[in-house]
Amino acid sequence: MEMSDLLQRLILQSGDTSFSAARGTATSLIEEKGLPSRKNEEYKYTNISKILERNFGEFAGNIESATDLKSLIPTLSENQLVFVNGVYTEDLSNYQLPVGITIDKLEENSSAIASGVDKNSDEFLLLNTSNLSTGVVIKIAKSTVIESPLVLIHITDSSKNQAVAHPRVVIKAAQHTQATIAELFIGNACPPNWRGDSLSFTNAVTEISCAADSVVSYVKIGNESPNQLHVGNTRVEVAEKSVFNAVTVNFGGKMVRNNLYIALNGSHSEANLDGLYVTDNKEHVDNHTVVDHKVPNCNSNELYKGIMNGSSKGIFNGKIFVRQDAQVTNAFQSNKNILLSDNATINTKPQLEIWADDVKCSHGCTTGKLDKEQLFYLRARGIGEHSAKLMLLDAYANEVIEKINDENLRTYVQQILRNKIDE
Amino acid sequence: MLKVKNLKASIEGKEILKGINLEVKPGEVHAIMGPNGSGKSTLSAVLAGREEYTVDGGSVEFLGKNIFDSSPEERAREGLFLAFQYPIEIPGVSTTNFLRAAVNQVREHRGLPKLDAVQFLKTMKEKMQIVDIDQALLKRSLNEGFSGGEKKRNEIFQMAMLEPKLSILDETDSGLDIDALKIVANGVNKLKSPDNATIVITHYQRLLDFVIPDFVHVLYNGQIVKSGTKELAYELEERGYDWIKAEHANA
Repeated sequence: MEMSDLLQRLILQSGDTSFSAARGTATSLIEEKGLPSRKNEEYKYTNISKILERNFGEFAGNIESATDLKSLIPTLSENQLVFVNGVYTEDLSNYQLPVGITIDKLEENSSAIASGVDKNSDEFLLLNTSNLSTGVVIKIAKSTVIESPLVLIHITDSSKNQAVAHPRVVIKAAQHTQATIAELFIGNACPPNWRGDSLSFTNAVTEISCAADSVVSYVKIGNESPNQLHVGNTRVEVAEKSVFNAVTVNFGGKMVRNNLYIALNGSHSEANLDGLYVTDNKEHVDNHTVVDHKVPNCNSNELYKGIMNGSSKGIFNGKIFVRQDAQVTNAFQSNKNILLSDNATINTKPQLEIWADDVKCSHGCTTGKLDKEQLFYLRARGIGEHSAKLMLLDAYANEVIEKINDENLRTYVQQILRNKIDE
Repeated sequence: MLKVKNLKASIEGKEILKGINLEVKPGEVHAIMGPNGSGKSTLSAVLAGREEYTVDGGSVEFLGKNIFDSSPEERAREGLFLAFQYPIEIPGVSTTNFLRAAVNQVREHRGLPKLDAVQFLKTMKEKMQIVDIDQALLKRSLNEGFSGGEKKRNEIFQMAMLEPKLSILDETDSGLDIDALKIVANGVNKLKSPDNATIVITHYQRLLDFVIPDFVHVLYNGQIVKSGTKELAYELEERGYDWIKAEHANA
């Protein structure tokens, strides 16, 4: 099949041959499948291909990046790795790695890529793989406990030109480790009026493996510009007696799609997934999650909350698979939404597929406005309507934010939230 | 302080208040009694500014100003306080943080400097004595998981913190056992001064044994049909409301 013009432009040529086999496979698969259209059930509400088609017609690769990116970078931890348009950038990074953590370049460690691709792979995972030229592998050695979180900051810099980034991160936590790893996505926006509606596109893949007896917390913060496109595939493999915690917060964008896939491969393991999405204007944020219970005696707990204003759109799709062997499974899922305007929408879809019989599963979703009774109570005590609303939204969002187990990260997220809802 | 003249109000087209007249002066305690459905809670809701009620006629002056020109928060800042019959639970907002925001917005309105964290805590500790409320409770989410008695005590505690000029206690006694009732009533009495006034809305006379009213009004079918002194409350306790209904039906 002839590769579409769009794909041809999105698959960048690179001289590095470390990944030629993986790239070759992924490229032929994505050529065959094409990027997902609206007819693709998984991307029914999020037709990102159409926007790419419309806006990347003349895209010819990343041209140059701004020189003053340093001012964009918040200080969140002693250990920060910075990536610009998907490329690890030593100058902007700052870390004194604790004993037990090593960071290698993926190109020198190409076997570390965990996700083999096949025809069922997500199209954007394929696209990322067909672009592989660089990335990082973070290894946490056996029995290491890391106090301060490791923060990866991805800047998609489209200040001079449209930008496309395909960051690739591999995290391997060995047995009996404990660590918090955060990924922050920020944008350096296009200058206004560049072709009227300039956009950048981040297509991130993060692969995490948690060996037995590990406790790994992962935080993904999306705070790119309102005119950015973002697709993220986070794929997690969890071994026995391990706990994996994910908190995914997103503050909007032109179109954002998070695919979080967690496989519970070892018994007595646990996954906790919390999410928050806050959107305004015409923003669009889509969270797809999969928890795959493959073995007995595992637990998963999921809570995603949304706040939507303007004519923005939220999508939540939460799949829980309980395989035939996965007896004595507990799986809980909840999605709650507050719509602040009549034009905001949410599409929410829980999807439970259960083949085992000794299972406790539940799911639920709610959508509503701010509680009038609560609002009146606060106002009747002298609190102004605006600050009463902020107080209630803060409290609502905090149920998710407080799951972030690091104070600096929590404070940072609370500040972004406050700025966003106080517009 | 409060002048209600021929107040008429409805909800969803249903007329509830059919011409209320009431005047409350500083230092006074008024009790408003009446059978269920007579309009007691509607009166307090309209005074506090609930938006789902429509005012169809009459006027209410609070401290010389037309109350209907002000939002609920402005009324509160001016010194109107409603102790809710069913205090609302607000998960994720601690009583302490909520009250600090409230106290400071009220103080700002009154031209007083904001209280910093230390001053606020000091004031809070003083006022906690009044209703014997535990600080641990105040760190928790507002009213969430509180017992009925704890919720009502929290209302009076908030009243103590906000130092209102006119307090309306909407069935504060409902669901309270005698010990909790005494604590709440004791709190209300401690906050009484010649400058402030209280309206006690109740179905029963019991609370009025502890918070002694200067005037008792009987609300029936959206109107005040009888006013008197505290003896009227005893009479109502003795005879129930049927004779009022009968008298009013015949009238």
